[in-house]
Amino acid sequence: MALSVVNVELGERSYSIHIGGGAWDLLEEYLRGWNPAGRIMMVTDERVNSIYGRRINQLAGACGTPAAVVAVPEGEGSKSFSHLEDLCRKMAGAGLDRNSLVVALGGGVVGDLAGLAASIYLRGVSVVQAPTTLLAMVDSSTGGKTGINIPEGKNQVGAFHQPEAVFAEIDVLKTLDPRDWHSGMAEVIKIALTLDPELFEYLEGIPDLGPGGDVDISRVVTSACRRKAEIIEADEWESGPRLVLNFGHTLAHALEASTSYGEIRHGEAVLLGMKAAMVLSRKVCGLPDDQFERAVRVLDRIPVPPVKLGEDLNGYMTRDKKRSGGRVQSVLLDRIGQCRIVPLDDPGDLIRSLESIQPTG
Amino acid sequence: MEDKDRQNIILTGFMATGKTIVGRNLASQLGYEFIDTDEVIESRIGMTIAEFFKEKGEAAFRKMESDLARELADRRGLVISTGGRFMLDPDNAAALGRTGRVFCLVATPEEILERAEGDTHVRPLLQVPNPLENIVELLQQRKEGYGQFPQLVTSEKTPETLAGDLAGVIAGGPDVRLPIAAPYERYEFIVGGGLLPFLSHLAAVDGPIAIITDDNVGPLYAKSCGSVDVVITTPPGRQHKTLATAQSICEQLIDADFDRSGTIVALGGTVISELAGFIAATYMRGVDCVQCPTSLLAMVDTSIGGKTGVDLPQGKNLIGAFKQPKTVIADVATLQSLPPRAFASGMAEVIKHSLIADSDLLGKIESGNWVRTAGEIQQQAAELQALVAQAIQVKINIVQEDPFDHGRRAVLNFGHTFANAIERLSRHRVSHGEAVAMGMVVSSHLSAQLGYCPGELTERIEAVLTSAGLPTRIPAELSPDKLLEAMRTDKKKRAGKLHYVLLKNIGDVFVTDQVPEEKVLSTLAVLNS
Repeated sequence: MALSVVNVELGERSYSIHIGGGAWDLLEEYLRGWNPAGRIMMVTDERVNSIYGRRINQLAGACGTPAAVVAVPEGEGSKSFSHLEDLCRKMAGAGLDRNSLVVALGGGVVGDLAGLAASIYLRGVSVVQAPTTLLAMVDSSTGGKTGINIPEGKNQVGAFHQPEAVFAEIDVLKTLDPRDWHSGMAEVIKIALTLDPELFEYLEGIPDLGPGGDVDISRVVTSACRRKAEIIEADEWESGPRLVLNFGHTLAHALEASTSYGEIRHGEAVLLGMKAAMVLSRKVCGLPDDQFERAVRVLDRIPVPPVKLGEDLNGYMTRDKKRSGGRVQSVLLDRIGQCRIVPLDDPGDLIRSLESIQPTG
Repeated sequence: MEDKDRQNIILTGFMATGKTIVGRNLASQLGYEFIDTDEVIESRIGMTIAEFFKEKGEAAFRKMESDLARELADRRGLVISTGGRFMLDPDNAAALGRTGRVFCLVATPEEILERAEGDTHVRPLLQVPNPLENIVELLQQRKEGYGQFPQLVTSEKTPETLAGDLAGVIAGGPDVRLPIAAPYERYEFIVGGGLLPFLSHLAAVDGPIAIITDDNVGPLYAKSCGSVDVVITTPPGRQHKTLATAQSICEQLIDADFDRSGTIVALGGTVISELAGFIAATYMRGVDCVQCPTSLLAMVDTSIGGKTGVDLPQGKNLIGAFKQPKTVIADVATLQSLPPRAFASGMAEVIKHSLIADSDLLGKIESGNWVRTAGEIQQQAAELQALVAQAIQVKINIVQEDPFDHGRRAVLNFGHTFANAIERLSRHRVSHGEAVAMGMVVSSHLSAQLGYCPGELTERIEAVLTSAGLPTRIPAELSPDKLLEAMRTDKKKRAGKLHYVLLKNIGDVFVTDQVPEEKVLSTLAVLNS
């Protein structure tokens, strides 16, 4: 099957996103063609490595000098200073130089960690993103945001470092944990609600958005990447328009932080954040009732495990880094496919909104 | 000096911020005449200002003020303390502003109230039921008016200290502002004496400020930087330029609720400059950064160019980012506290800049006295300021030509191929500047041996280094073989051949990898003492 391509036009930092079954075959070609003077390092996680180890070794072998392969532990815990340092030391140990390439082959954690390492090692070496989760394909692998967490907050340390290319191998979604599938689908719905009414209508027409359902996932990923590319082209450094991609994220980041990252998936947290934002959109932006109901109907198709809302949520939100001028900025909807940024006087409104729409503990 | 050569110093600010007492103190320090506009007016009208207000009204008083402003505009060599609203009048501000430099003294509303209650003046503004509220409101109204002048924070400082801060500014002469064009942005390198108290004004910062400094520099200067929101202090020394330190600083920034609207100020030498710059590049994916170098080395070398980073066990600066500062503020007053050896180390880079691009600067170094001995009063601030400005201009020109370090910038490495190996092999017993001095001697001897330059040039270079208190011979235990080996390992990390920066004449250097190893070894052998 032919791959679809989405181009991200950023002048000398432009690149292409290759989407479809067989994207890794193209990645193999790409690695074969890489400057043989530069050592390549492939970074993945232990879960991906246990499933696709043979294929990864094949890819590593295709490089001029066989690539070094590093597998970090699965999960958000790897996005830490200590794993960052460990990875940078391994890069130095493997002799990576300015001609080198880092391949981030995994989910969002691998992409963010390896992307940041590539950004700061020798003040920046090249990186290629090969996302293996739906979430990473539609969200984190494109746009150049990289980062790690510190105990006080998520992604508080990071850099903008655009990849040389993105290879989204759709076939690997077969082995995705259903919870991770839903988590990624939440980000797809986010893009549909904020930027793509057509994609929203398509999703609306599909009763089962789950892994075994009827979604044409290549199509969905391609649409989502195209919308995201447009936003990044308009605002590479997140100084304005790109903030819309944070729809649902103010509350989501706080939820993740208050559960110490792990009990709740990023996409699940975003889903809850979007539900809260829908309630607030109706109240603050006058989102029409029928649109509210359509949106919530689609959001409700994504299962979320029960969550307990900690008392520290408010504090985490106030620390949200999108805050400017001392107020938390939240993205709300005027209509489906049309949003704006609203400063919140009281971030607690988001928590109360969620409580009004989602049974919580 | 004739009075007409001496710029006036005009103090403005809210009542009870100390304009009169600081002004009087400053005038006596500088040997200037002191004028308090309120006192002059009172003596002319023969009554207190409060009485005059009641009798003739405010308009009449403002007229007296503007007459006085025009009168003073013709005089020089004055320290002028002005009434609280004197300089808020645009005509007065223009008339006096032309005669010299204006500074605004600031204090918190609580301090103003406390100080006002402690003195004997009758303050009509305070004859209200809630004076504090009144002060807060008036300060708010005048915020923009006062905000146009450099701010000097008076909290926790004596009038003598404040007068000293201001005297430092005057001693440095007018600030020198050197524009720098970096990729995607422009910024300024400002060099002067006593600049730190005016940091936020000079760098046009409006938002929270976090100072990152070390235990040596912080206690000396962090309090001089005006009003700041957080001061984070790290242990001094290169061994702390690590990701672990970066993590700890980021955590402290978060704990202080420091957000993207903030500005990080790097206050210190080269280690702080690179460490704090790296944090500014990565904290919340980037916040503004102001570089305030406090060592000569940092001023003339690391503070511009945007290279930031931390070390890994495998090597120096293996981790980093390009982060251009918003502004560089080089306050030569901070060089006073620099130990002699560190000052000499900075001189090595100044001399390097003169050798690669500026023979006039070299002449200036040769004719001056740049050796610092412990306890000695330093060179005149104005002289130091001119030296720093001229040295940094060399680097600015080269960096602008080659912002991403792809070619021309390599000439800045004159002497460094050898210096890095010497520094490392000596386990840093030889300081960076000393190693650079030795490296430049080796490079010039090598250039002469290969026939690129006359032998006299090497003598001239050795003489200027010696006059700055720098070594010109390599310690005996660092043998030629070991040094060459160390140079090769340095290079291997950058995957390439050994490159040398060689010299044809002052200001005429070039990069080459065509140097036979036996020539390198024999040159090193000659200079090994």
